[in-house]
Amino acid sequence: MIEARQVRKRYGRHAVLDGASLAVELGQCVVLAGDNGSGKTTLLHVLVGLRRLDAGQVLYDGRVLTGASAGTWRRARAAWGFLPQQVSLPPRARLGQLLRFHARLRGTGLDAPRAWLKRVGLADAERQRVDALSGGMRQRLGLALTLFFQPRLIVMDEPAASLDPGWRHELARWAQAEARRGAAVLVTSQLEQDWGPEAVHRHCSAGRVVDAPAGGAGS
Amino acid sequence: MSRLAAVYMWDLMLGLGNRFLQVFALACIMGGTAMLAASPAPETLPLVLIQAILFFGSLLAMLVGWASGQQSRAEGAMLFAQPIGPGELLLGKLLGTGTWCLVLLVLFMAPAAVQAGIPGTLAALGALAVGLVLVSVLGGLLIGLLTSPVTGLLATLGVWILVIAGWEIVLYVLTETGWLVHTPTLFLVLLLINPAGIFRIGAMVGLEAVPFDTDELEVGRAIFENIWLTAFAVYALWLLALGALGRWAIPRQEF
Repeated sequence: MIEARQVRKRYGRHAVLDGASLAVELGQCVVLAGDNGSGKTTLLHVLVGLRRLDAGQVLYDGRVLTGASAGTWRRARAAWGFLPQQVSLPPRARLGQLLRFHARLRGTGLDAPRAWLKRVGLADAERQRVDALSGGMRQRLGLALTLFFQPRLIVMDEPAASLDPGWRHELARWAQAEARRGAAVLVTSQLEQDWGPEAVHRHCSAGRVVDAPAGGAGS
Repeated sequence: MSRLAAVYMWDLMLGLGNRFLQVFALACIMGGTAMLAASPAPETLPLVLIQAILFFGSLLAMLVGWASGQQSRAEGAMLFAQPIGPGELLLGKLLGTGTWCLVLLVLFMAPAAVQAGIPGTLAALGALAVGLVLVSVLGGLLIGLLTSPVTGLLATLGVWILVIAGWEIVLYVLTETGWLVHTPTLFLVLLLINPAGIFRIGAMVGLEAVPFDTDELEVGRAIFENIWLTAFAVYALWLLALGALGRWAIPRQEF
């Protein structure tokens, strides 16, 4: 469904990705773990086209996206939900305004994003401004904006990092439900045990992706 | 189309929090009111407006555009991973931020036009101002989208100085050193291709106060006889060129 093939990426002299390959299929939830600086975030950003790669390819539904036109990327992104590690939203925007913007972008009505706002526990916060939200609430808002339009591909970078255990459990449940619905789900996480037995575990190390080490939570 | 509308509406909303737009609004309201209170003579009023729009209007429009670009850049991956093409992003933001700037331009000019009773003359000046403001907004917007905050602010100010004064100083030096003395048509084209240059010259031609003689110039006469068409062409060219630059450069940004 989406695949990174032999991706290389350097920042100056430092090779962050050194031939990393990773594939995620529809109906699969892949959890990518790894130490800080191991290249997880860079790999995710390369996959969704936010960073340019030095070598290798990104394929989506068998078609090469690397070097494709902006229009091709835009059409692909229409079916993708991406949640970055830092949920940066305009601090003075109200949640209702954000919902309307994202609903217009995705060509949906407001019912779906409002339903997700309720699921993430922010149903009564539509008139609140982003700068009035805590870090965890902002993360949950990001989740709602990522998931409300039933994307085919869901990519989330450390989505559980600022959530308390209760919401982490919910997040894992949603990720599994999205995979069962048929979406391809890719998350990075230091907390491998949170994602349940159905998740496929991969490990990012020295710029490459390998199977999760023996003794890891997913094994 | 719905994505363009989404970006436009989003930028209109974000404009309310744009600090430079707030300063622009205050300056326009105060400036317009001052023009009412001072009641300048109808023949001097357009000259005052030309200077105000040329120097302050262009600077504030560039800064407003830069701040708008920075707002989007600050959203980073949350915005740039959305299914928005670079053209849609640029056009939506130009229309959104441009709408606010044009409202403020009307607020600035309308009291003076009513007070002096020369709306016809000022409408022509206003049309030139719209071109200058839109090009300034788009220039600032691109710098804001493509550069880091401090670099971008310095670049915005640098470009503004180049447009307002630097370009004409370069032309003056080239003329003095003899480079352009024998090619007056080239000099004229270089003078008018500058957005501030076409505004200044266009407005003066409109007021029949052009500061030099063009009788000797075949091309020059044709340009001045069709100054509105020339101005429209220059501003359209700049908007298209900056738009093309943005469409090329935005997908090459990394987040």
